[in-house]
Amino acid sequence: MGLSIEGLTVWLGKRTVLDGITAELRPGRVTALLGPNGAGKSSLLRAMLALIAVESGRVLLDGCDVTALDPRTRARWLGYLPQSAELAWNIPARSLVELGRAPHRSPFAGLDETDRAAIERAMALTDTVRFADRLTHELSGGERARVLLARVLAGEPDWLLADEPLASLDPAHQLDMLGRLHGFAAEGRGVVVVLHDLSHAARIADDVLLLSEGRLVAFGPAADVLEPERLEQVYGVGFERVGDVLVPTPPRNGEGDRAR
Amino acid sequence: MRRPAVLFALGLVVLAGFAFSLTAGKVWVPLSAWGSGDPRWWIIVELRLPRALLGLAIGAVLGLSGAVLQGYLRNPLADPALIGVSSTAGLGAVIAILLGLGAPPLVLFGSAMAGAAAAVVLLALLVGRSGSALAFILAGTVLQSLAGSITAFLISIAPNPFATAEILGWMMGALTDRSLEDVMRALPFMAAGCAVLGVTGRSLDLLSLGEETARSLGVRTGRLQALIALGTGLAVGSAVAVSGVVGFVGLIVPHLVRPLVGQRPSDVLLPSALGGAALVLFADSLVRLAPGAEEVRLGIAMALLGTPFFFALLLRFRRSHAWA
Repeated sequence: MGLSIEGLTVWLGKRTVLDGITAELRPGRVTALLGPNGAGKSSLLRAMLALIAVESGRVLLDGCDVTALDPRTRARWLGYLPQSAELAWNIPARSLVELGRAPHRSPFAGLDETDRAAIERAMALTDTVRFADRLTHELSGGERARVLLARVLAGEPDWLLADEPLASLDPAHQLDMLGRLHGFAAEGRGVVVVLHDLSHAARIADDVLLLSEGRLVAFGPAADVLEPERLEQVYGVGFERVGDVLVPTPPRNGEGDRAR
Repeated sequence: MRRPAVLFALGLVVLAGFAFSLTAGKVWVPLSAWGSGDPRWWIIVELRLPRALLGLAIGAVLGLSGAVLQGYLRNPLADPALIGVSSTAGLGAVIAILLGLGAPPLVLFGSAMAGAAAAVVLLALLVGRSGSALAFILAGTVLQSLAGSITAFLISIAPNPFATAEILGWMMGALTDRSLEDVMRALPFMAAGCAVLGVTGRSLDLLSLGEETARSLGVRTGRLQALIALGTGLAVGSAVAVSGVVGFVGLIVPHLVRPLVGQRPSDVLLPSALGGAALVLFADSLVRLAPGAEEVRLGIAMALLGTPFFFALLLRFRRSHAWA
């Protein structure tokens, strides 16, 4: 199912954090949300999940406005991997993954066969079966990130919306996570991921949605959008291609204030 | 230990506590004297049965609501008193005592329930539709201190020392001299409150991932908050209305059961209700057994026992980094 953003404008207090964003995201592809700090990437993700109020415009999922959907239906279609790995209670990893099945279960039903199968599959995909019975507070950062991803995958959403899933992971685990996101898209489902590292975006993203100060700068295939000149305008620092990696270089003529 | 085994064991402890509460006191009533032939049987029927039933119900209510609030606020220090329902119910009762000494128990009960209802309505108004746990706890704290200061003011202007003594005695919480009618009046409210609180388990589990993530998984946080306010208002409000304020049970009991059943909020609810019932039944029996002409009030005893106990718990948690 398609996910389209139509003229989306979002205010936080009196500040316009998103200003008339329009884009048609396609399933089966990884779409990276890029832009400097404060560009509105997380707000866009949260508006797509109907977690924050929209001033005007709308987000359509398979033709339905996401804010009009029943919360449980929306939860079955859109999986959210937030930036903060908040875990208030120290529960076993498997119990945490189980939470991802909530949108599919009636309020008082236990886990049925479908639920169990989805949980096992999600844990196998994320390589978390080994520590399924360990308590989440005792896991390493990389292990915990995989368990949290398994939680989202267990819900079998059509779209996976991840907010900086690579933060606090070491390079090996970053590549591992990118590979898993790519695999999810390869199954024909949609992935939207907020990234900070442009090299990661260049490596994984099929499409890139570039934001600056709440406005859409460019949206399209990654190779077209990730142009050093355009990135320099948006980020306020220069970029050089070294192999397939985009390396930031110091700003020329002191024009770097936009990067704050 | 496996969960069914824990529940079974806790059930046995509650039964033992209930039997102990019927048997123990200044006059011991051994099992051989149970029956209509023995005069001591009337002690059980008239005095101890209502008291034991009340202890059972109040303990269960306080344990359950403590577990729900700790799960909802994701804070191990949460307690039913924190959202102000106990204080406003207490204020309602104090007003009834001040307006008409020796008021019929029905008036006292109704007045305290009205206080609890006021807290629920004010909470809803103060928090609005945001569904934010932080707003909820702040509003509760405001209500708690407001009700507390009005109560203190009313005590200071009480017309005579007898009124003051009655108010203070009532506020400290006790299960003494409650009739079966008192118990039966409160029981439906407590049961309704527990039923409302009991349906929150799944949402509490999801909230352990944070409010936004829980919403992304289909939790309606505004409705959950309304359910918790209503359930606590009914359950704790009616508990306070019949027995005064008994603290610490809701705070301590969830901590006692978590090592047995794990930390998942929905798994803690039923064991906390059973644990609370057992704790109050035994504590109230011990209060009765303490030497001296006057009983120590249950509320005071709970605080005296509870504080050092909780302190020890805190030290142990700190050492094991459970809350690091």
